[in-house]
Amino acid sequence: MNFALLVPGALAALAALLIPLLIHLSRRSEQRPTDFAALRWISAQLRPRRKLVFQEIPLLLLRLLLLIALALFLAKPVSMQTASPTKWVVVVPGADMNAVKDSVSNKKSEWHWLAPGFPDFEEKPVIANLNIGSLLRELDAQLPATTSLTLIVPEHISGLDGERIRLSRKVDWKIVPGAMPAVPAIETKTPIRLAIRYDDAHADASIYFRAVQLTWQHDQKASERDSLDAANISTILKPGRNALVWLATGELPSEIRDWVNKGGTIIVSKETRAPEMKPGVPVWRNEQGRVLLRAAPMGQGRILQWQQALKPEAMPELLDAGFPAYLQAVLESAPSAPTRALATSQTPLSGAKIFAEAPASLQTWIALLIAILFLLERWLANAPRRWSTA
Amino acid sequence: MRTTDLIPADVRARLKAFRLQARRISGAQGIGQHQSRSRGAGLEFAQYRAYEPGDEPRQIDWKLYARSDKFFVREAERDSPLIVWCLIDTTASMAQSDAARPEWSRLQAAKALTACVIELALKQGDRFGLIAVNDHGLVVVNAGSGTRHRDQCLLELHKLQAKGHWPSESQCRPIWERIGANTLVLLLSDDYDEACVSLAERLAVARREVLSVQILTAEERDFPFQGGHRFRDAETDTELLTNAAASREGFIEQFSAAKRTLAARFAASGINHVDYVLDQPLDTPLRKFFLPRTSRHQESV
Repeated sequence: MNFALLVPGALAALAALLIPLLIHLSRRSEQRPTDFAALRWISAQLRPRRKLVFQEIPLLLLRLLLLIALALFLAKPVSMQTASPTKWVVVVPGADMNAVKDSVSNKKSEWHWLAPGFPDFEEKPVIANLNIGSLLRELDAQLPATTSLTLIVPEHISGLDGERIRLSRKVDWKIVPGAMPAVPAIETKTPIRLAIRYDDAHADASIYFRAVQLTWQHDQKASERDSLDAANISTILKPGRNALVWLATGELPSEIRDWVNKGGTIIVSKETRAPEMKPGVPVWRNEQGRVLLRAAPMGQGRILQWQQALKPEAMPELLDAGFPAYLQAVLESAPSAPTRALATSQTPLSGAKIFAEAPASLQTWIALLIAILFLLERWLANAPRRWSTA
Repeated sequence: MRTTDLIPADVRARLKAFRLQARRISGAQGIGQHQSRSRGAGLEFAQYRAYEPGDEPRQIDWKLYARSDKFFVREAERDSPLIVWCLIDTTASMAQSDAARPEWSRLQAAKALTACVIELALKQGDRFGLIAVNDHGLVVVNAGSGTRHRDQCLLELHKLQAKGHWPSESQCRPIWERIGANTLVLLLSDDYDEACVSLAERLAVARREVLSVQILTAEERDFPFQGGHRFRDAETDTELLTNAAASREGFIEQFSAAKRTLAARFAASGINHVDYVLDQPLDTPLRKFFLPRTSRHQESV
């Protein structure tokens, strides 16, 4: 165990050691005159010798110690623990228990589950929705560099993420029969249920979105089809719609804003004033590279704005047969990446950056020491005493 | 306020053994034995006073009763042959005390000794008076006797404070006016003022029997100081910064030489001189002056 100071500059506080030294310097006998009537018989030639004499040495030492401890406290001492090399065996839930027992004979190592908090092997871990990649990186960062790691994984592992697992150390990757429970695929694709609102100036443009709506409906079964909801901007929005095409000049009304903030998606025309579009990013460019549509988050929802006037001469894509499909692709979120793989294909790579081990702070102990020293100092300073006349 | 009794209890218990006596004056004046003075009324008429229960019927003036139909007691002034004067130095140097016992100053010791002597005189029926000397004005309590007079003296004693210098010759005149010849004078001082010493010498020469107690502090005897020290004389207001340990031997030598000179001067004038250091029992000087010769002999055996 070796010590270090995080703020060595705070040791300048040691200059305060001068204060108790000055306080304890014995000068009071020369400061306060002694009444002495038989003065005439003292020979006056002898000058007093200047000698540094400290009074109450124990109290002085205690006060110096207290100040040193205070300075140390300010300097934030830490201790680097060089733990002895240990062995960790981490079992990924889902591995066949009998196979686990057979695979590692060395019982001296520490056994843990690969689960949040890395519980002891004796405990029953929570195994729902494990993120294997993240947990492995966390474990790797937490363990000291000298600890060797053995991982016992089932043949099929799930909860992987897009990045290949890369750790700072070489691990023993033991594959035993078994499989992690498959994470049910989340149905992310929600059907777009469009509504259209337009003012008089944009009545012409609204026909393209009526067409889009009809095209989308065409692919669906008759029972799931929506009625066409295209109306003037003064018409109240029906519940159940999750996307709105807003073709009007000027500001968005506040109830529309609230609706978007609660999770709706809105596509506004170029003329609509939308300050939320400032940080928007292009989501659709045409073949010439011109930005057609920009998107930005707005509350929990999303706002998109056409960057061109909604006229065929300004934006020929309106007449393109692929326009509804393009728009659908923009509005729908991307499908989730696969998270399940064979363990043999996921052997961790090595060579990740080694994390510096977090040093343990000693400030708590120093604070305790300061408290004890302070109490001792008060006790000693208030003890009854007799000032020596010297 | 501290305890009103100036005399410590143990000293008061030992006071019984002491007896005020003068070497020259004893029995030379007045009538009869000294110790018989406390009994009976004197010859010199002093006053009539109203009868109080407890008075002896034979003291009642019956002729006066016949005239006034009231009881009066005839009181006479008891003319004692012995008058004791306590002469207390109350200059500033008398305020000095030892660091170990800061409340027990020279003046406090002088007050206690005076109270002892007053108790002794009261017990013997002798008359006693009190003069406190400094240049802020003399405090004089005339010679008298009786418990009421004692209380008056004690009241004045309590009020005394040490300040100022020894008074000039003209200010000292009341001392000569009050203290008559053939009286006992107890001088309580540190004897550092030359005027004080010479006053004692002249009193002795003028047929007063002078007893002198030089009150010293233990620090003056032992000089226990160490290191650099700043000494101050309260009367002359001079300060001296010196190395105490180095000047110790020289001081003790010179100081004891001065004490020897003083003792020689007092002896030459016939003054009974003794020094009292503040850490000694209070009755040490009284023991030397007032212990009867027989018991003093027993004690030495």
